[in-house]
Amino acid sequence: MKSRFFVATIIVSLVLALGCVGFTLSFNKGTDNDVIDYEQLNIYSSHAVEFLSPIIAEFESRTGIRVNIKTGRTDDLLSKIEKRQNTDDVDIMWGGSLSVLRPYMNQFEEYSSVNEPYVCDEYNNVEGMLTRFVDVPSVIIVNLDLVGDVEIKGYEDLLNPKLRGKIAFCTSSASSSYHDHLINMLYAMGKGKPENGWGYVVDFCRNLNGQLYSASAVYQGVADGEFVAGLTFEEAAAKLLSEGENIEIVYMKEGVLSAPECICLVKDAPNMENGKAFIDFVTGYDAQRLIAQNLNRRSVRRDVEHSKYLIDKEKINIIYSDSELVSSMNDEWVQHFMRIYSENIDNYNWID
Amino acid sequence: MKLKKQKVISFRDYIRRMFIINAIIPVFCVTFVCMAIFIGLQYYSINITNIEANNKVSSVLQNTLDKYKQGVLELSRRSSLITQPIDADRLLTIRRTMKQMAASTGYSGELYILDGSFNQVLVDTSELPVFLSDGAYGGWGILREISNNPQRVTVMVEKDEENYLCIGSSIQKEGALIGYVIVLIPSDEFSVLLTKVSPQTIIADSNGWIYLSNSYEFTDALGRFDRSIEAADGFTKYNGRTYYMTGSAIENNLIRVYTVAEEGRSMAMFTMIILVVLFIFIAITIIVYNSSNRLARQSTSDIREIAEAFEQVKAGNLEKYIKTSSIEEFQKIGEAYNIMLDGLKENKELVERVAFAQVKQLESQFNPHFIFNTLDNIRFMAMIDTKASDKMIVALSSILRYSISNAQEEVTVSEDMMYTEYYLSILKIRFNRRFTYKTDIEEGIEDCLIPKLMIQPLIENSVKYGFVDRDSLSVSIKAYTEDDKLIFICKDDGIGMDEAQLEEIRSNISQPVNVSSHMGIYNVHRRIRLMYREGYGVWIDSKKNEGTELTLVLPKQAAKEQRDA
Repeated sequence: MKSRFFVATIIVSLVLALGCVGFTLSFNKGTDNDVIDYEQLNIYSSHAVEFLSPIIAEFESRTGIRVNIKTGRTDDLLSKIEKRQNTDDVDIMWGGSLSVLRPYMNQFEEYSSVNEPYVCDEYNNVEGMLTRFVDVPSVIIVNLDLVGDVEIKGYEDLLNPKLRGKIAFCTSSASSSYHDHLINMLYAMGKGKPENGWGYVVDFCRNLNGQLYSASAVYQGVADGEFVAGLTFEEAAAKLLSEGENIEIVYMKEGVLSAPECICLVKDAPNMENGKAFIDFVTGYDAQRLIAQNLNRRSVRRDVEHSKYLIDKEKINIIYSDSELVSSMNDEWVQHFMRIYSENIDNYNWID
Repeated sequence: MKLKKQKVISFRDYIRRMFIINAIIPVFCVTFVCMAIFIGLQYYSINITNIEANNKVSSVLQNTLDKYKQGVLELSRRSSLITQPIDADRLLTIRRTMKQMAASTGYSGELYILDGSFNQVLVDTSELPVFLSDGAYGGWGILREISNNPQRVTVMVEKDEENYLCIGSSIQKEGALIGYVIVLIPSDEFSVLLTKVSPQTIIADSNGWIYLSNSYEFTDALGRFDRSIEAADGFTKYNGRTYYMTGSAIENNLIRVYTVAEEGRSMAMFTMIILVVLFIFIAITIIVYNSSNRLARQSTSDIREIAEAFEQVKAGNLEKYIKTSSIEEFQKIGEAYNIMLDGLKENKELVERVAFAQVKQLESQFNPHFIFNTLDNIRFMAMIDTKASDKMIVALSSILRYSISNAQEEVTVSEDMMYTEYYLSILKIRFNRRFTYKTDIEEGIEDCLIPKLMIQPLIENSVKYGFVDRDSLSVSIKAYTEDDKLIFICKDDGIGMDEAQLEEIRSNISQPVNVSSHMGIYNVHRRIRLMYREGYGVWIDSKKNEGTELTLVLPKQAAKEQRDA
């Protein structure tokens, strides 16, 4: 009799509890958003978010393909691609200059974009895997407030003793601008023979001081007046100009190395067709024009004008490197530079 | 009487179980129900809050969009805006219309009219957003969308210094696109709206590009609303935290409104409440468990004493009285019990006395028979062998002295066997070669106590009924212990008896009054039955011409130390 009463109590409480839970759960069902199976594209990129956002937004808006992006340092992303598993979703490697990407060429799929006929001859995808999409030459920027009467027209002028310790240069191996400037120096000062350029490098290191680990610290440092001159890349310099900084872009009179940046389709990309569509889009007229006009990079297309902050290419002493030699010697040169750098840096302690 | 089979538990356990069932289980049920109701209400309120907030933002947004879409559509129908210069009156009308729309929606938009080559025709602000001002955006973004869909009103989220909701359409003349009408609503306009609803709100386009958000969470590397949770509804884990998400889409799924309530704080509070309730529950359980134990012990102590008293009686102890209880019912039971116990004790004494008297009377019956037989023998022996008759007289007098000594009711086996030997020696002299005997007493039972003169009647029985017309008789006496019983077997190879005789003796033995001539066996059996309980006594087994076996079973009693007086 009594036990029946308690069993009843327990049952009633269980029913009530379950009722409450069910009541709650029924609300959770609410309005199910339809999960649309979107087309996907996965990109690894070392570009800044401000650069990526407008291009990706437009691509998504035009194609309906959804772009997932993973940003990071070029070398990190490349090693991730090299070690990728079949399960890893990566279709596009977007970023890094030609000299950095070339050693990883076998990780990429051969693809020639539909825009290849519009691309200037020097930017043609001769390898098949390395589609050039912008050119970002190395430049020197000069803070006009600080430079005074010191004349800076090229690398030679950086050896001026008045500039000792006032030059910004990023020596992080992760930075493309470091690699590009080093190669540029060797070719420009070696008069086309990189092995002859090391004499200048020694002198340059003697005049250089302090080590900067990030490319942005270089141009930001010059703009903020921490340094008189800095070795950086054209896009960053143009951005500073567009922001109204009182700086000047110096194209080295000894020669400016053409350093195109590439976009590559990863080998066996899971979303191969979407990747191709993206490469076509990025090298297309609309995107190239936007990149040139608003994002301050030099287009690879003949039919696109550069930003008003940049000078015509004809006015620059463009030189070319042997890209295969550069690829094979890159590591050695970097190590050699670091040796020279550390041997000469010890003589000066002013930055401490 | 057939009893219903059930597990017997003590009254104390029963009381305790009642306490537990009546206290702990209801507490458990109430706690459980309360918690369930609490959880239900909690979730319900989160859900309602989220849905209300989401509906509010969505409907305001949709309403604003609808109004401006209508305005844009009307403006886009006027190709004269591009083809003719806008005079002061038209400008006035356009500006007033815009103001009215701002007033009716509560959110003001900026109007831009561009011609087919993106030149400004009418602009609200001197500095155009980049996506309208620059030629580079001609084939890009909102302008591209309008060019691609000239008949429609296009809605888009665009980005410059801040985010804009763009509502635009084309102005056409004779089927050709000659201009653009675009209204931009800066995201700032709605930020006050978002502060009016308590959960966090994110307004984004269908690809996740955020228009306005008052949350810093849920964005991916490009600052988009994280697509992994765009379809989430209800409880969602994100970066290790739980949120309650409600999403809705407006404007044909072009704009999405996500409402997110963080579960963190309410969850923590909820966990606290559960812990407190759990603690209270455990505390109550422990208290009730202990107090039920104590209460059960207290309230059943009288019952326990009564039960114990009965247990003692069952074991034969009549000295256990029940102490008076403070509870009336138990006191009555106690008093009645004590009176009953006194009655029982008196009764028992009476029974014992009667039994004792009977035993004495039975013992005394042995004497005349034996004496008669023996004296008869002595008389005969005195004529042929004076030495033997002398020995017989000594033995007889010993046995007689032994049998009439009232001092000891019980004697040791060895003592009794000694007198049995006297008896056997008398028989040996009397029958000489015709009679043989042997005794076999197991080691270690010599000191056991038995009533005296128990074996002698068995031998007497064998001699009396075993010979008849036989020449010789042999008797063996065997004594041993089995469990806590002392067993004597007296076996002869005499004439035995047939079934009928045997049955008669057996039934006679069980009678309270002897009606047969087998006085000895009957007396022994009767004495044992009076002194001890059932299970002891004499059993007889016999076969005609083969012999008789008498089995005497007694309780094994070890001799008390210094028992001899």
